[in-house]
Amino acid sequence: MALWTRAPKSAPTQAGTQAPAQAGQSGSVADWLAGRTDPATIAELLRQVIDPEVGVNIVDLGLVYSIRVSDGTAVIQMSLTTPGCPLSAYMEDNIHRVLWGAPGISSVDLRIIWEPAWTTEMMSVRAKQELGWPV
Amino acid sequence: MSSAPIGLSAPRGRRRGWVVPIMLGAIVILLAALWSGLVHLGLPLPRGGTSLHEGHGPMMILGFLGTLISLERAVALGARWADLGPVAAGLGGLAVLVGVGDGVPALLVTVGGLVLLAVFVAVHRIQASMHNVVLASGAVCWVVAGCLWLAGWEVYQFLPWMAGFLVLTITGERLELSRLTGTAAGARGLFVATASVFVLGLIVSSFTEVSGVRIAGVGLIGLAAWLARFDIARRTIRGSGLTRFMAAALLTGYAWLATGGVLWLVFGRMTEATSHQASYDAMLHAIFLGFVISMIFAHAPVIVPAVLGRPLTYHRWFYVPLALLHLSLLLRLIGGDAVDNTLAWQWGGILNELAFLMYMGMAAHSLFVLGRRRRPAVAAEQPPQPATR
Repeated sequence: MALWTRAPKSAPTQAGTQAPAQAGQSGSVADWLAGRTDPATIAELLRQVIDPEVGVNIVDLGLVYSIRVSDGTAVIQMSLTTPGCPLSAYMEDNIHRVLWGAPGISSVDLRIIWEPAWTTEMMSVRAKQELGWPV
Repeated sequence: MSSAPIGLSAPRGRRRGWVVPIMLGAIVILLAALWSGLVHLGLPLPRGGTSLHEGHGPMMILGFLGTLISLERAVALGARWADLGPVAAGLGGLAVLVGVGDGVPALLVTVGGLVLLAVFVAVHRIQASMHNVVLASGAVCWVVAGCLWLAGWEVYQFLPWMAGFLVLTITGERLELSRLTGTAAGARGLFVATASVFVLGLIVSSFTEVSGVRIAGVGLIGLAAWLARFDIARRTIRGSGLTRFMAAALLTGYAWLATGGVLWLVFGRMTEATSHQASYDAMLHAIFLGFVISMIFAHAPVIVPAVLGRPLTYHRWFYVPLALLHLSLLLRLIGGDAVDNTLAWQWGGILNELAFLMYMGMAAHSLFVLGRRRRPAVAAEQPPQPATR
């Protein structure tokens, strides 16, 4: 079972790419046509979910901790910048929408977790650049 | 914390059946408060009961905005008990509208504020943070305002506390987002110091009005300066689409926050208010319309979908009511309050309300007409990322 996890820290050489630490295989058109969606492809799809206040996607913000696919269910572990975030339901809706129709994915198990707590260290270099960090 | 598997087409668990009736109740409260606002402007309209006429401020701030803010927080927390907050605040606002006996509206909104405070305590137990303390301080201001209302104080006497609820709620959220721009600990310390001056002013205002309001004014100016320097909107204004619209609404709102702070510092007096006392009108509406409603314009395109579970498609026409809001407020405060021209003051106030209603109409159109037409393509409607600099 393939697993995608967030890179432990944003490294300058990985500007925004967040290479999967334990990905079984990268997503491909062949997989898509064959009715399979692997975790790396799901991570790419989740880049369409943008925090509208910030203008940066949730993967580059470092909010998505891990993704795996099990029996047609995309199991996504993610956090939010704060537990009381009013945008949490908005994020959930948009995650479901971007994964709608992904081959082989019939449901989403979205797990919002608070450990480890999200920190700005988890943001990608690209996200930091877009938000004006001196990187 | 984990959730059970959710089918792609299944409704999300955190929104419950209460949400739509609560939102409808909030809209009724808003419309009643807007009507009352027109009467305060001197238009020849049926005045309604004394409760409605005198309750314009509490209805807008604790009834309408209190309901919306506690509702968004209840949806975010996802705990059933948190729904009691918007329900109580909404019933309190409606109680003003129908003229329920003395004390009942104040008691209900106070309960709403206490539940919101409990939400922030629950969040703090999950993950403690400074910004959550600031948000909780805003809820404390709401509770204090409710208690003073319950104790029989006049509305203008506890207005600083109602302003405190909204200012600390909004700025606390901005403090949280400022982390994303790498704000240093020193800058966060500066925020806390400035917010403390504001809160000190609120406390003093309950005993020595002029001194307290002036101290709070200094705090407002400081908070506006902090936001202008450190808020993420300075970056996102260079983006596009919804992100840029939100930043534009935020930054113009900060200008009004600073204006309100200067007015509080200069005049320092809210008592002896009449239907049209120029300084009183300017001191309140720079904050409550210029700052707060601009924040509402900024956040509605994401908060309303979060609460209702329906997409709200951004459109560049949203800038029209935003511009109308700010220009009509300039007319009201400069042409009306500063120059003392009643016609300019009245037209400014009417256009303020028109801007709000226009924005609500556009949002409703987007939710119920455009959203239904374009639902299959929602993923493609995400706002584009700001250009990399």
